[in-house]
Amino acid sequence: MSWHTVHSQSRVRLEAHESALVLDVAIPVSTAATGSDPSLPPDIATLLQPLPLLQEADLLSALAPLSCLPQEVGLEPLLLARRALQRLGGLWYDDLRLLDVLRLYADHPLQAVRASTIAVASHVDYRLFLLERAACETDSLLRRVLHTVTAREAPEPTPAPLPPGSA
Amino acid sequence: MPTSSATSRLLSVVLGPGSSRDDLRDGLRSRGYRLIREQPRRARQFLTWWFAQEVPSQDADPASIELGYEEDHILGQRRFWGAGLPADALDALKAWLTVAFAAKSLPEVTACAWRAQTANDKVATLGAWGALATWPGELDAVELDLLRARLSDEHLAVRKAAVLVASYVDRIEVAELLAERRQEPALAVEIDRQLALRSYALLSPGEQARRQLEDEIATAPLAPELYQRHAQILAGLAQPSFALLEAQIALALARRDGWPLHELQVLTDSLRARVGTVTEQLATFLAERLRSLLAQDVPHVVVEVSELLLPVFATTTARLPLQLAGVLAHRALGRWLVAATELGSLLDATEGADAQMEPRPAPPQIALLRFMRARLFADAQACDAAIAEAEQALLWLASPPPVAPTLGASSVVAQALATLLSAETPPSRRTLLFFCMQTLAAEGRYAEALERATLLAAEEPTAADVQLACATLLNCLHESEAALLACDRARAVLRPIDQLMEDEDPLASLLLESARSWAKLQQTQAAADCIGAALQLDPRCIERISGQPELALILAASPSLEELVVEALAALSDPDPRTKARHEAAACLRSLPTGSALSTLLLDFFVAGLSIVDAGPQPSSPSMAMGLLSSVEAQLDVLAESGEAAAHAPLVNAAIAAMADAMGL
Repeated sequence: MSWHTVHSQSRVRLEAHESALVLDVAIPVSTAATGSDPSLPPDIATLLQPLPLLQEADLLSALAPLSCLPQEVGLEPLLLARRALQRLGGLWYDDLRLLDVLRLYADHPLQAVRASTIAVASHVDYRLFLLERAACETDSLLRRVLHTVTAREAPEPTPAPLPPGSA
Repeated sequence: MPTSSATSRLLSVVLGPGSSRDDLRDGLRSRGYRLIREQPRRARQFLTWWFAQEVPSQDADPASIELGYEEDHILGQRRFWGAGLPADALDALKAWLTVAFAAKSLPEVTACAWRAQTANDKVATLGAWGALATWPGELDAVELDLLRARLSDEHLAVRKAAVLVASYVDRIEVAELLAERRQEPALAVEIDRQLALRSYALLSPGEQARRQLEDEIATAPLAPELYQRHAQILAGLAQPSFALLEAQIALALARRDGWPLHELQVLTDSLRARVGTVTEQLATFLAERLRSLLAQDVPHVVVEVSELLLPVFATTTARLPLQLAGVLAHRALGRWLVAATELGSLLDATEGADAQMEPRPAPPQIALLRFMRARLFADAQACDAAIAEAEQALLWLASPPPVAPTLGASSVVAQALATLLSAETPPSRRTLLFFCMQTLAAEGRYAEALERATLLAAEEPTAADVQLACATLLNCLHESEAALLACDRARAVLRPIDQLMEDEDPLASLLLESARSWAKLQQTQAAADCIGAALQLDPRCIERISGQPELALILAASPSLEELVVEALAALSDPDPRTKARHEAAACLRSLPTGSALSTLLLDFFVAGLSIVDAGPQPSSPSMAMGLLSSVEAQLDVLAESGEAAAHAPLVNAAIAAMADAMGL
C-alpha cells in the first residue's frame, strides 16, 4: 500500500513480506529538513515516531551472534539473530547484499541457522545459491528441503543487455 | 571461459560481494554520471540501471556512450559496463570500481573459476561460471568441456546448476550438450523447456544450411544466386522436384536481371531429368514461393516458371497451383483474355468428368475462381462472357455441399490454392449481383441491369444502396416517377452507418438522383432544391453535378445556389469538417473488428455526432456535443483499462477529434 503525505509530498509504502512488514519512505530532495531529526520532514517524523521500527543497521548488528561460535552464544541471541536474518530478507528482498549476507552464514555449524539462510534464499529465489547449498549440504532434513525448493521450474533466462561492440 | 571481444574502449566488470548499488549510484553521481533509467524485470529478480554524463564530454558523442549496471538475483551477480567514453575515463572508472567495489575484470574472474576448478570446488566453480555465463564473447572448447563435466557430475545439484547456467548461453554447442542429457529424468523437463525456448532447433548441417538459406531468401526474394544455391542443396538432399522449382525461379530471375544463364540452364536440365515421384508438399511449397514472387511484383518470372514447369508436373498435385499462379501473373500483366483462358482451362480440369477421380475444389472456391474470370472478361470488355461467368459463380454459391470428397478434404492442394488466393475476397451473392448490374449498366443495358437490381431489392428490402442503384437505372431508362419512388424507399431505409462508411454520402447521391428525376419531369425548382441540399451535405458532389449536363444547367441557372457552389469548389481542395469527420470515422470503423465493444461504441458516437452536425446550429448543440464527447471519452478510458489496446489508438483519436471539430468543439 502506498500513501503520499500532504505536507512534504513524501511517498510512504508499506510492504508485506513473508517475514516482515517493511515501511519504505521516499522523501523529495527539495523538501527542507526541519525539526529535531534533520533528515525527516515533520509529517514523516510524526508518523514514524510511535512505530517500533528497525532499520538495516539494527538488523545487521543483530546478526553479530551468528559470527560467533555457537557454544559462546546463548540461545536467545541466536534466535534473535535468525529472526533478524529473516527480517533482513524482507527489507533487502530486492537488494543483492542480502545474498552476500546469506553466504556469510551458509556454512554455519548450526543446522537452524543454515535453515534460516535457505528459507530466506528460497523466498527471494536465489536459485544458483540454493543449488550450491544443495551440492554441499550434509544435513538430511535440509537436503530434502533443498531438493524441494530447487525442483521448482526455473524462470526463463532473460538475456542481459550487452554493451555495444560485444558479440 | 568466455573471452571478451572488447576493444580498449569497452569496460565490463563483475562487482564483488557486499557492493551497494546505492553507493554505486552516489559514487557515479559524484563523478559526473547520473542515473537516467531503471528497469526491473521479473519481480525485481533482474535490475538494470543506465547512466549518462551529467555534462556531455567534448571528446565523445553522447549517443555512443553507454554506462550500465545490472543485478541478476538468479545467478547472484552484479555487472557494470561502459563503452563509448574516452579511454582515460574508462580507466578511471575501472580503477575506482576495483577499489570501492572489488570489481573483477574478465581475466580475473576467469582465473578464479580455474582456481576453483583445479581445487575441485564445484560450488565455487559454478558460482564463478555464473559470473561468466552472461559475459559477451565466444565459448571455446575448454569452457564447453567444463560445462560437459558439470553436466555429468555425480551430484544432482551440480548438474542442475550447470543446466541453469547453460540457460544463459544461447549457443548451439550448449544446446547439443543439453540434448545429450535429455534422458535424465531429474533434468529432462528443464532441458526440454530450455531447448524449446532457444532460437533454433538442433538440425543436421545440411538442414541448417538449407534453413539459413530460406531465411536469406525471405529477406532477398529476388536474388537468383540464393535460389540457385538452394536448388543445389535440395538436389544434394535428394529432393529434385523442389530443387527444380528453385532452379527454374533462379533461371527466370537471372534472365530478368541479364545474368549469364548457361550454368543455370544446365542445372535445370539435369534436375528435370531426375524428377521422379512428387510429394504433395511440393504443391504447398510451390504455392508459397509463387505467391511471394507475385507479391514482389515480378509476374514475368511467375509466368515463365509456371509455363516451363507445367509439362513436368502436369499429372501431379502441383498442377493446379502452377496453373493458378500463371493466371494471377497474366492478370497482373494486364493480359485479361490470356488469364481468363488459362483460368477456364483450370476450371474445366476441376469441374470436368475426369475430376471424379480426384478431389474437386469446394463450391465457394469455384465460385471465387468463376468471379475472378468474370472480372477478367469485364476488364477485357467482354460483357456477355463476364455476365455468364458471374451467373455461373452464382450457381456455384447456391449449390449444396458436395457429397464426393473435395479438395477441401485433401488439405494439401486446398491449402496451396488458398495460399495463392489469399489476397482475393470471396464473392457473396450480393457482390455478384452488383457486379452483373454494374457491368450491364456500363454497356448501356439498363433494363437487364434493372432486372438484377430488382432481384436484389426483393432479397434486401432494407438495403439503401440497392434502392439507390434502382433509382439510377430507372433514371437511365427515363422512368422518372419510378425513380423518385425508389429514392423515397432508399431514404426511408438509409441508416446513419451507411452515411459514415461510404466515401460519397449516399444521402447526397439520393438527392442528386431525385434532382435528375425532377429535371426530367421539368420540375426545375424541385431539382434545384435537391441539388442545394446535396451540396450542403457533401460539397464534393459538385464534381458529379458538373458531369451531368441536366444538373449542371439547373445549377448554372440558379443564382440562389451560387454561394454553395463557391463553397463546394473550395471544399474540393479543403474538405469541410463534416466530410473530414465522415472519412476519418469510416477509416476508423473499418480498422476495427465488426461487432467489437469498441466499434459499437464509436459507431454510436459517430452516428450521434453526425446527427448533431446535420441538425445545424441549435442553442442546445454545444452542450449536447460536449456531453456526447465527454461520455465517449469516459467509456474509452474504461475500455482501455479493461485491456482494449485500440481504445486510444491514433486512428481512433483522429476520428473523434474530426467529429468533435465537425460538431463545433
